[in-house]
Amino acid sequence: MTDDLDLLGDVDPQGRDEHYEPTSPWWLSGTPLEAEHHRLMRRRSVPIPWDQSGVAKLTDAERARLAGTWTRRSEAEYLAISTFSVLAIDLVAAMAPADVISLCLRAGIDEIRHAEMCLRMIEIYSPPGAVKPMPKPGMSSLPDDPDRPKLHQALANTMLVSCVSETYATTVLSATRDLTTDPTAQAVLTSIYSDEVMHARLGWSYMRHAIEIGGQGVIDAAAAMLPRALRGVANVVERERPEGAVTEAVRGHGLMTPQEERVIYSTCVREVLVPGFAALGIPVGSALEDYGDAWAHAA
Amino acid sequence: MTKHRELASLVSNKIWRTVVVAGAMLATAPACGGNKPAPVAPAPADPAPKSVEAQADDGKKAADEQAAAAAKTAEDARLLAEQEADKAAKDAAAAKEAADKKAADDAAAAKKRPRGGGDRPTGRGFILS
Ligand SMILES: [Fe+2]
Ligand SMILES: [Fe+2]
Repeated sequence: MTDDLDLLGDVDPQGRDEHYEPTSPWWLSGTPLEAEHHRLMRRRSVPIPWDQSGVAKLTDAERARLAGTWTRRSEAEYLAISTFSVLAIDLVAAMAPADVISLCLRAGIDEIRHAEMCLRMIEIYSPPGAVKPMPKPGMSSLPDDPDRPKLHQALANTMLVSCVSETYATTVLSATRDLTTDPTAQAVLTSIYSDEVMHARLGWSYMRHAIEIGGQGVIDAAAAMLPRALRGVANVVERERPEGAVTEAVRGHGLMTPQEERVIYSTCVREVLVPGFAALGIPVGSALEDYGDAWAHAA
Repeated sequence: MTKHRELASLVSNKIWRTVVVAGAMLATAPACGGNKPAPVAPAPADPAPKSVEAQADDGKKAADEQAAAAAKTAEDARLLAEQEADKAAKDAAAAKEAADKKAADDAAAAKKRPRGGGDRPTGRGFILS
């Protein structure tokens, strides 16, 4: 609990944002469901000072660069909605404990909120008069093999989504927050980060539980998934970036260079993921070599 | 870059403690018994459906029983019994056909879970730049 407080600072994970305002009215149904949706969205642990953005001090090129990145971020958050929805189906099929399922479903709701915040950031950064970039909606492609034991599928997909992807997301968000000076961007990143901590922790808890009930079969399923899960995140880190320079001003609004990202991922693999899986008795294969110094400095 | 490496290690250490150690309860040894109630082993979500072969056997058995019953009837009921046996066989065949179709549909439905496409695995992470 002390660690939680250290990590989250003054963030109350169950707090409510009293300054909440709907962020994307055009993405709503226009029905009475909206009121309940806003109640869910209000469970945002960090108030966002939308009017304190320093966007006006940026050049159009810098704004376009940031709008491009927030577009990518909105796509990733939107994709995570279906990822957690599909993972919840796998967890239900494996009769996972109720707390694991409820946190997984809540994670899906968190991802809707994250996507909304990213959309608002696109609006903020898009240069005046420029065509706003349109996020491309994506759908989860989590592996599905109806022939394998349901516990193994749930565990393997939890490892992919939560233990690897969300744990890395938490690490890189924490590092990005440290170099972000813009108050609005800082608050948005902190808000997302405070949710991601729980998205990541849910996987490690379920992994522990699944090993206790499923033994060697679960360990084998996890070991088989590990290289695929690590490669999945590496594909994202290695991806081409939107056009435009990452200037000092752009960094202050929450961007790192691809080279810096590689160092964060490589360090995360070596100091977080590999020790975690090893402690649970899961063989880690060539993970350390695959994402070691050579990979970190390849870009 | 040295400063950045230090930041990466600092942050990783924080995440190690708050996400991995806390989540997986690494301070306590795994599967060591203790006071934790024994977890219930997961049961299959749906009872195992009867195989197509088993359903076909059931249909054949019914037809055989009806045929045997018909053989015991008096000679003057033979034609009627034959007609009934014929009908039962037809019903059994129809039932088998329906069972086969249902089994095929169920198998197809079991494979059709909501998943998107994509030819290479894509992790989520948080897109940074
Ligand atoms: Fe998210
Ligand atoms: Fe997340």
